[in-house]
Amino acid sequence: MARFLLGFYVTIFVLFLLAPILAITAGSFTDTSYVVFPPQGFTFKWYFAAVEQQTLMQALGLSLALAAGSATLATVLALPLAIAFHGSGSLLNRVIYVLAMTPAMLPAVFLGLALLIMYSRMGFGGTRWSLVAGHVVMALPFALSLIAVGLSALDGSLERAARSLGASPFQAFLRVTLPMIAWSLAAGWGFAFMISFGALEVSLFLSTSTMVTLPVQIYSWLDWSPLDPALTAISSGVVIITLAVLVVTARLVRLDRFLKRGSV
Amino acid sequence: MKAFSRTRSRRAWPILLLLPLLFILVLYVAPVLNLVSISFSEHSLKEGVIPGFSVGNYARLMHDSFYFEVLWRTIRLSLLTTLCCAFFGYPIAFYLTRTSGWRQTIMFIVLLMPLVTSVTVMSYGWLILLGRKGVVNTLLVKLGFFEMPRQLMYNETVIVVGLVHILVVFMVIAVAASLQSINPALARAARSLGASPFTAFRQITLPLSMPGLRTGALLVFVLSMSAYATPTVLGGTRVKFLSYLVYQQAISLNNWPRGAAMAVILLIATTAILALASAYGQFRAQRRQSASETATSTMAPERAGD
Repeated sequence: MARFLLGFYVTIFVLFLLAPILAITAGSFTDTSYVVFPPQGFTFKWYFAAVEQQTLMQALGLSLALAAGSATLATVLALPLAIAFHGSGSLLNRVIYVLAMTPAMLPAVFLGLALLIMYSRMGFGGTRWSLVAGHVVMALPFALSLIAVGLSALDGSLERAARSLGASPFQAFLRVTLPMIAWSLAAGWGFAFMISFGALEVSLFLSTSTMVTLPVQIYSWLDWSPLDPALTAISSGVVIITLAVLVVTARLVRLDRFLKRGSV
Repeated sequence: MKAFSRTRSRRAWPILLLLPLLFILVLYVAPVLNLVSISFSEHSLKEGVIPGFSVGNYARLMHDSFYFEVLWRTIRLSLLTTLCCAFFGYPIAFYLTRTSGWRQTIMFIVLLMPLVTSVTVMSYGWLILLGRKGVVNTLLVKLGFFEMPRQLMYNETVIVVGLVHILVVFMVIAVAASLQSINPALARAARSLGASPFTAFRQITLPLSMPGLRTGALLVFVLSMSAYATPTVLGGTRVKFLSYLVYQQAISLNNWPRGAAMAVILLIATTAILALASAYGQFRAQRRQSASETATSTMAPERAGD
């Protein structure tokens, strides 16, 4: 009985979590010229309509490139930080680690405004480099924490064995450690990608009229024609891209590792 | 040999650490400190930011009742969101520890999906569900509960629903982690000694999962205090969050110093509430400990929770 009740509750909760996603997907297939429920007919025409909208496609292209680029940079920067923190928990290393983790906890508008003001003063406000820098700052904590998971799951005796057999520290790292934490690098990249791809607030501060990311584009579109099926089509495109990255990342991480750490 | 390798790696690491460290200091720490310092400058329409030191922005905000109303709403709804996440997420965390394999993986993916999907897209989903021509209204009218569609959007409840939807994953994972580390024999022992399932849960399982609840609550509270898109889209023009006022001051009104002061207060308010909560937690733990020490020297039931 108790098991049945729990199963019932879990089902309801899963429905709650999926409801907005399902609504968007269902809305994008309607044959009518506005989103209506229940959807009338079944058509892919709004996906083609969205593809033909140049502003949308430009925003999508920018968001994809930005997410891939800043995820890569964040992973490259996070790797030495994670190794230093794993290698020695000295005060300095701990301070640096915590500092690199704070952007995830800071109010997004605080971060956005701080970056906007300083990057303009430094002379690259309004360029795509300001967006890249901002997204790397934002994505860094996620890459860092996942690489840290990979390192903590590592058996240090293997690297020591390689060292005792004559490998230099660099060789031992490259041939032994790196292949064993490759999955966590990939997972960190995946999470960083999703965070950057979905980010609104920081982009809202750093965007210019000619340089608009997809979440900002959708956000401003919500104001004037929220019932446009093309908007549901592009939104479900975002859902599909995110889901694909999430499923691949989930397979890499073995998500039950989160349970051992207690946080995302 | 060992000492040798250690000095070698000590020399090598600073070079590799230099790049990320520089990046963090120049492109993250410097902007944050700069924002704090700008919040102490004045602003004029003609010249923009006027360098100098004044607490004018903070003083003016202290007398702004509208600002306080929004700050209070942000705090109140964030606390409510945290409570709802704990209440509704706890059974899910329990389920997560009792299941494994593909079911567990799918549950994780479903929980993470609202968080990692763009927050604009999620808010848009709620708009479609709850709008006047939305799914819920259509359904309720067809079933005869409503005579005509009602306004379900643009109120405080809907903001909490949207925030719980995105943030509950933090609570679930934190609680599940602490539930997993509890020895199941403890609850079984309580049951065999005659405790009802509810008593066993209240006296054994719940106190032992407190660390997870605390971690989850911290994350959910901090993130909902700083939420921007969800309250802005779902709350409309009337029900605003503090983050929106920051954006409005800094971008729409172009008053950077005042926006900066608001952002700093948001951060201070969040930190202050967390500090208060943790101080209260410590106070209760101490009182509980001294109470159980004086009460009896045999096994007091509270002991299980310490």
